[in-house]
Amino acid sequence: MPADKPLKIKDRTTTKCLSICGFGLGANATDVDVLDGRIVRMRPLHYSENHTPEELRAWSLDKDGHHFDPGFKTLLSPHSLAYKTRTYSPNRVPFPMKRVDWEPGGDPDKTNTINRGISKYERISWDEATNIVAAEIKRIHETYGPHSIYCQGEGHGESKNYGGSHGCQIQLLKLCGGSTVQARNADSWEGWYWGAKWIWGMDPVGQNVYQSGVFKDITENGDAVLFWGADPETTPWGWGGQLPSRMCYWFNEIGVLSIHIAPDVNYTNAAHADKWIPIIPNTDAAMQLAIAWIWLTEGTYDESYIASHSDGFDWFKAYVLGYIDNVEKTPEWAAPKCGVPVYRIKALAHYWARHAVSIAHCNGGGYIRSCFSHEPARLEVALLGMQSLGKPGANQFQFIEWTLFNMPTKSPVPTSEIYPSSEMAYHGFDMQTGPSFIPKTLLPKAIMQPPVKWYGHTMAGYPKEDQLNAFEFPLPGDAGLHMIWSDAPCWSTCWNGGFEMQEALRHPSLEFLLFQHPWMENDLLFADIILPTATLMECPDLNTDNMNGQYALIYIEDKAIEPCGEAISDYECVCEIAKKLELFGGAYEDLYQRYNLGLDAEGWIKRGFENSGVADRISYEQLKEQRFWASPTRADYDELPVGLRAFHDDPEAHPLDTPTGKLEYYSTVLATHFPEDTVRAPYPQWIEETAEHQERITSDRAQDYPYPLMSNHPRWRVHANMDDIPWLREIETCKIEGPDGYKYEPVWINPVDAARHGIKHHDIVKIYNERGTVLGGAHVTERIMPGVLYQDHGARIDAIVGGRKGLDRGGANNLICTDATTSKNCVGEVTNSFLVGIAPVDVSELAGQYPEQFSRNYDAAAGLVPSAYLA
Amino acid sequence: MSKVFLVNVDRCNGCHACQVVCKDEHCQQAWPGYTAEQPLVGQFWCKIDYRERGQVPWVRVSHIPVLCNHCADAPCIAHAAAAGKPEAVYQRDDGLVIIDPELARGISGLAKSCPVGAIYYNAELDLAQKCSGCAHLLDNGWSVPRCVDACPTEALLYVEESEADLSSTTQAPELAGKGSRLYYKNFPKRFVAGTIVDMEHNNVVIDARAVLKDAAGNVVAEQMTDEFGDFKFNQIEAARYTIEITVPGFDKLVISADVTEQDLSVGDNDISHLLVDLETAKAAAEAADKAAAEAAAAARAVSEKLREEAAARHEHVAKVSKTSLICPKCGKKMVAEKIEDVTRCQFCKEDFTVYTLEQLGATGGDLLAGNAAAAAAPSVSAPKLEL
Repeated sequence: MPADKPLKIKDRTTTKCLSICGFGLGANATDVDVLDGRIVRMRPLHYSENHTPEELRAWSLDKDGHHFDPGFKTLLSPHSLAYKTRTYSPNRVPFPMKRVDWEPGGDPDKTNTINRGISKYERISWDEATNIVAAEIKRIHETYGPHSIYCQGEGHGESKNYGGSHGCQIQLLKLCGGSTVQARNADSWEGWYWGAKWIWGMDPVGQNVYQSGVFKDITENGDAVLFWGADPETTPWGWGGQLPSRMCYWFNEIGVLSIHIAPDVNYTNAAHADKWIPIIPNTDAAMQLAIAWIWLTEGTYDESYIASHSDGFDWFKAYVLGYIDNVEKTPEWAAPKCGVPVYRIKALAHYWARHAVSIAHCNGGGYIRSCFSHEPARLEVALLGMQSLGKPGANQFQFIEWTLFNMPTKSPVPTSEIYPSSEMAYHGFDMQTGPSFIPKTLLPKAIMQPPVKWYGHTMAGYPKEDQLNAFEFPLPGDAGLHMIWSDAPCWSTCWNGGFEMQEALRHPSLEFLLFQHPWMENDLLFADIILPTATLMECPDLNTDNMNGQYALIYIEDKAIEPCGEAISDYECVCEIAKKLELFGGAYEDLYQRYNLGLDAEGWIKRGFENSGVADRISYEQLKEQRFWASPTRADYDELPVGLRAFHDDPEAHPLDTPTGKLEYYSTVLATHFPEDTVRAPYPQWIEETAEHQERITSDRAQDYPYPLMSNHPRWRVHANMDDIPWLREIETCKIEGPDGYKYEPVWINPVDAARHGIKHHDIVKIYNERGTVLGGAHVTERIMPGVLYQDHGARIDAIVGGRKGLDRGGANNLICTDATTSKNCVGEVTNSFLVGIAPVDVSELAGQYPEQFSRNYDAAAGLVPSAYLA
Repeated sequence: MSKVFLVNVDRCNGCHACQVVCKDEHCQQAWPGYTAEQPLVGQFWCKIDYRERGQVPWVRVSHIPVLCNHCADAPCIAHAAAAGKPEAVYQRDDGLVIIDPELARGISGLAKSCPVGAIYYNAELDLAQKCSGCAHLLDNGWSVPRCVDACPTEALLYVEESEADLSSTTQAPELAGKGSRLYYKNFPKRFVAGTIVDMEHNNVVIDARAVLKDAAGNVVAEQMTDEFGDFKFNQIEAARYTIEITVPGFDKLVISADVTEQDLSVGDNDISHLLVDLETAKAAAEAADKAAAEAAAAARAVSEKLREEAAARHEHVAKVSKTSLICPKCGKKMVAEKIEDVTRCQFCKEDFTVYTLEQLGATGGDLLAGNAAAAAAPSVSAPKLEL
């Protein structure tokens, strides 16, 4: 029996930000209880602790006796709730390390770059490490110039502001000559960015930025929502939590049809879909064109709307009807390409023409990150335009990244009066590059085969006109890359062609790889010097939650626990290097002071708070006392123009951000600036193949690699984050335990295909193409259509053989996707819908071939551990 | 007064937040007097049972939370008593069943005594362990356990028994007669779904009548195929059925559907070979096409009407500056302290609504000025198409 006195269940609570967006964009406010110096629980934040519903103007929705409530606590995903184990992971980098066969100084006999990813590490002190780092930076500056240091300083990960998860090194180097910055391409939005912007503007994202009131609009006027590759039960988990789930249940409850178009039964489909239209990966453009053909030939599109709201429609119509290339884009033409039967294409087209249909995105799913992704993206807009885009019930909206880029209209649910800013406490990446930069997608080429040329800064959020500017690396007179300083060492499992990247990291021109990160994972294992950094739990901060869709929050975070091992925050890590650099004087004179502005943690946090926009609503002391403050819903929300209704009603007064102000079915800008480009032509088309991309099931390569691989935003990770959380790894759709006790990344395969290859449920398999091989565990399932495979992206790399034609045990399929970009003039990533073969493997046989690699130290619950890599 | 668990399977999205927070509370953390440390992995005091159902393209996943039912007449309590340790497993006044983390050590077979497998054996401690209903938190002022607190969709509720709506609930059959205090709503049964098509015309068949009959020939349910030619019978008992499809002008199509063992997609079913009366079939098809064309025209008319009304109203006005605007009807300029309060032109008496730039989503600059610039710029329309 328990004692008479209640047990102590906590010493204190602090509110922490579990956003995995990074870039200082807060979300997923979580209450963390600490007891005896340990995190004892992580739980939803209850608004009622400080506010009443009346005070917050709590919003809700009613229809026909049904009631929608967004909830009065934050709706956290299991990622946030399990994060204690990420902080306490046995995989934390325990102390600074140096690769055993690397010495500073740039002598190839001493850098032994060929051994990166193979040779092991030894412990060094912070003092030794920062001395080496400072000396190397100075040497590289003097020998080659500041642009020879490449900063990998962006990425989705923790969203520390003061602690600066990503990009602190960029800001430091700006103060002493600059660097070459890794430009983060619009990885989740590629097709919208390179394609949709040219038909309807919508900077900075390329998806509809006018979403005000759309959730209510669909409730009142909508018949159906097309979830075209969208998985709101999964993707928003890093960016705002589970309000989208409640919204999906609402549509079910009130009878708005949920129609899912994708190769797989994603987690939203699994719980909510009324219909699933299976479609072969990256063939959506064929079905979209066939739908347009049906509307054109049956006269069931809004001709008067097109006349007043569009420009260049004749070109699109001529292409679809076959007058330009002699191919009519009929459903019979489309069906073999996309795998959707003729009668179902027709049914969808007919339904859409008779009803109020909106389209939902969590940025686009698989096809938006495939080759030629600009085509299905702008074809979607083309179709929406043909059905009176902006009329009641007909909009495009997102379940994610609400109010991103400080746009209050970029949210389909009621918005808050104030969105607090944490900018002035933020250290890190700021979407600026300086003159020398490289698109993330071109990094391996820039290292191994410079020079590289491309169009656009490529940064997510840059205006479309930037795509017309030509750039190159290295800049004339510059020496090329000789050092990489990264705080986001996950390129190989996240970007386009990881095995190529591993080759590049071994290139002799790279004399020094300095990586700082909390966990011993992915590209960190190629570093020369590793610096251990702290997680958000170990740092104080000021943070916000502006993406929950309920009520915007600001909160002051305590340090929940003391740092693990010798970790310090990313910001403090860069400060330590600044202190050593400034000892050299000259360009580094006063560097530390110039970088940290003489402010300590509390100073930065106060600075952030004073500029947050809420300082007149609550005092700093009061905020510290009550931990968080929530903003009421804006009072005039219901008066805002709904979605694109203003454009719909009067396109002259509310033009789109295109040269004509209309929907441009023919883009004169593309025609003028890229007259030779037949892949991203002025009007959208079906592209079968190009010299760079043969990924169709009808291509020659499909003889050897017959299956398009669907590789979406993962369920149980956020990109490469959180592959080591034991409570998620126990879930059957997260990892499959092999006969060797190793947890493999699931590969979904339809029973029909599994039978053909003799693959049984939970067999270990390999998926492969000419670029290499990754392993996985077979999940034989009806959740994937026949002829297609599925494996989430971002698994932690466990390289058995690294580099080109390598073999990875972890299941990191980005290693084997193509390194070629979206199309010739569009350097977006292609990390989905690429061809692979599949076969069962005998892991004990493989272990016999590679005994050392297969016996790395492995924690049964969390996976590989640092001792696997320590000498 | 005591509470019961109410689990609405229809609201469980499979996020596993409940499973994770249960571990968060109990793994490697002891709550003396209530629970001993649970190992980091391997036990699931709250577990999501993952069930894939159906076949392409009719596939569903049911996620079913499984936890201790805190039975009024619990087998585990009986087992401990039979083992001579009646105080080792007991029921509190609030109904929660607790395994005492000290007294229950060494009781053999205690974990196996639970018919739903909610008890786990910790070999290191020689102790059976299970859900405690987070009693240590409830005794500290919490009103619900961790799983219910974390659930984002109200799939999991912990409510006063007297106030709970327990109509149409089911309970774990393995615990019949044991006084389970956990109720399921919408526990999944079976579905059968399919599509009717006419391959002669390569179209789906809308408004085909689908009648579900049991093995004895009784009508269980009926519905008309929808605009995708689909029918779906949901939450039917696991049994053998037939589905009779009737379409005017065609012989009846009979589809067998045995969902005893699993949910079923009966796929896409062609009726074209069953044509018997061409005239009737044609008439029905023509009527359907006419209705479809009318529906499409009506959908377009919604937009047309709204656009006409907007044009008539001249409703949309962009602010020129904070204190002045130009009337869209007569073109005269008005000045006012608070321009957003102006709703009528002082010259021509036109009513209008002023939207602020922020409301129109402008990120900077001045819409009217932008329009003026666009008007002044040379034409950027697409070139004329020459075929």
